[in-house]
Amino acid sequence: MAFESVRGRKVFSPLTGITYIFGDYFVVMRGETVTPEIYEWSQIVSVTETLTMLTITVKDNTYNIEMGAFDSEDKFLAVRTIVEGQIAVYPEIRYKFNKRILPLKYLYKNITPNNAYIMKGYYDEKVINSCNIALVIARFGRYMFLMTVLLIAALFFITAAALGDFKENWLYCLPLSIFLGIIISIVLYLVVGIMARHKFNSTKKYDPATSKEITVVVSTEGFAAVESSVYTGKDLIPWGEANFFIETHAGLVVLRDNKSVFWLPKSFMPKNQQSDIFALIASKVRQR
Amino acid sequence: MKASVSSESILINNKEYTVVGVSNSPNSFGLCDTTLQKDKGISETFFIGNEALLNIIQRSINDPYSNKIISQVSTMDRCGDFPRRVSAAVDDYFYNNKNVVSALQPLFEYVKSGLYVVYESKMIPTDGEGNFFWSSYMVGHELGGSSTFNTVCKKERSIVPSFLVPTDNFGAFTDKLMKLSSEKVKKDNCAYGICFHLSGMFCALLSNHYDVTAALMLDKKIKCLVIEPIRYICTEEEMKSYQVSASAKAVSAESSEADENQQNENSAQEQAETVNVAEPCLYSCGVKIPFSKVPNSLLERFFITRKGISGKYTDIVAYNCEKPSLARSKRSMPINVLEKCERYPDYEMLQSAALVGHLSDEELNALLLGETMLNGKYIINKNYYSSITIALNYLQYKDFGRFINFISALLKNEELTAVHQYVASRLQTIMDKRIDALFKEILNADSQSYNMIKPAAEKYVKRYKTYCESIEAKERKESRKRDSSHVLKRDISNELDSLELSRKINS
Repeated sequence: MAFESVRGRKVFSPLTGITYIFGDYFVVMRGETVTPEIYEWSQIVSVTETLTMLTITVKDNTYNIEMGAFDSEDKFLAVRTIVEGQIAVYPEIRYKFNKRILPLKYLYKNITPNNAYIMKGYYDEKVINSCNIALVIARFGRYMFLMTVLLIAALFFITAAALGDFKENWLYCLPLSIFLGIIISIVLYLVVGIMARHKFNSTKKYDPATSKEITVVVSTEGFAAVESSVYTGKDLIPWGEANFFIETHAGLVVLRDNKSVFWLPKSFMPKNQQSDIFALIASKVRQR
Repeated sequence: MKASVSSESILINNKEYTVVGVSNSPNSFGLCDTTLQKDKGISETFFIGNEALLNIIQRSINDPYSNKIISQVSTMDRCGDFPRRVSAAVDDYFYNNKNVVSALQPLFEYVKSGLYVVYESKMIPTDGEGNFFWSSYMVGHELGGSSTFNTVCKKERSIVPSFLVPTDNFGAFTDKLMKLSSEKVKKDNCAYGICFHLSGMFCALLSNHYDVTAALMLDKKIKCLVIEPIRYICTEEEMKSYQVSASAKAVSAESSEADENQQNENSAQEQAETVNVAEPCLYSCGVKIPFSKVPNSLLERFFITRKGISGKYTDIVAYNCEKPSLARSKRSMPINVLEKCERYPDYEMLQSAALVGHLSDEELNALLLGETMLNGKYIINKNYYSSITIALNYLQYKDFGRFINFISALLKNEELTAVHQYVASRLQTIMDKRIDALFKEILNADSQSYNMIKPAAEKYVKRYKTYCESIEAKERKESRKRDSSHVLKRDISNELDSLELSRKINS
């Protein structure tokens, strides 16, 4: 099981007076004298994470833990890590979660790397934005030209139809439609760019990990990007889980099913190791 | 940060257990997971600081009922002042009458964070198969009774871990220290020590190896304080299912006779007491502790500690445990030590005794008739062959007289040829004139059903003959020694008399 060496966490809810323990079991303690309710993770039906609540549903019970019960963001992140580690073992647990910047923990496997590049740092908004834009370009760039051409053609016929006599007006219509088509394409590109930029801000609101120190690991066995507070050195995502990677001027993004799973800003890497790290990644995943 | 230690004393079946919770410790000793490649098996190492002392390897993954390979990698003399701490703890508890927690405090400050149960137990100085403990683990081999959960009793019953695994250097064994220990054990009438539970019925002896050896040579008891990490629980559902089978056994256990000598094993009656309450329990090999007896603060400690947790020493220990063993020695123990080890109960006997609790003559007779059930209940279990094996082990441990009667009845019953071979092979190591007579009878019998066991019978008769001859030779040698010492004494006294006489004459 991945993240099995993350220490269990106790969460006391002042609203209900219940203590919850997340570890190898999910335990509910209602006071000092009452025998605790113990659930094996196989008994958990669903886990739902919202902005205000973590809800855990067992067969006949639902436990709502308000976010305020987690004394610190680190505690919440540790609990989330334990839960996702267990979901890797019991994939039948239904899991709803907020937007994330880091790869989900249930993708990880218990692998201890022999040799690894271990880097630490904070995700810089600028770097993530630039990577996001690069992602958008990678995803939509090749269609942008096609879209512009189609847009010009469509505008050409629309303006020609609007002006009436095609034979006389086509010389006016053509430059106008080309101009409008390019303008609209640029505006669309900017909107997508702004949306990509906004993506990090919206994730920031939901995911406390965005402001935490991140440990990034690259090794021949796999890769990892986890909050340093839960990093144990024994968990990696095998390279088989990644489809391709994109390199931008600010960093590198590894994608899985067209979604980013792993961000590696260049600022994390020591300059003398950059080429080795890129070569290692390139040997494991194809570049787009 | 200093480790915090909290404890609670609990009485279960009139025996005192101390549950100890440790947190914020530096994780300097205990068991850690050193598995490198899971497909090759799960590996655990008992370590002290950087030193990997014992390797415990489970070849089949995800099977808590498979036996493990235990081997000694390094020795305690490389562990700084730890041996001194353990010796001090032994003295504090057994001689200075300190309580468990204050005596063991210097150890608990360094042990891996988690929940432990500490209890006194009578130990057996063998590897569970009749070999002397100190010299048995230099080469790793699979040990019966070492599985996480017992193969015979499953999780249903606890069996107190009794077999010892050394941590001290056998290569540095000296007769001088042995003599000192012999005197100490003679004086105390017992050997004392501290053990750390490893797996199944096995514990690492942390101190007093010489005392234990002396106790073995002098036929004295070995009493140890066992520190057992609690790593599992029995859920309410599990306990309910055990309760059903336990209540069936408790009826038959009512008539069982108390055996004072075997305080270690939990009889069916005791087990039934524990499991009568269908509430979740903390499971350890030695005892099941109902949740209601443990304060929630200690339970919290248990649930927060995860099984896979590693400490700062884990990586270096994982590296060191792969190194060639430093515990190799060509030294051998005197034959009488090895012979004495063979007389101790093996792991199968202890398992069977824990499972059966009591077997009445009526039940034995039913087994002899080829039945597995009596009055609508299974005598032992539904498998006849396994029932016979367990009954034999149980009787050999509990009541040797009934054991002999039972095997002779089994062998004389020609319809039970399926078990004859097992019985014959099992008897090969037990030297007894009644077995010899039984085998001679089989050799003289004309029945074809004995053809399969006649070679084994012949082998036994030969072995018994040489055994008797060796004993006779030994006795003769001893009597000759005694006689010669008498003659020597007489000669010396005569000489002294003549000297005195000559002195008188001279004066």
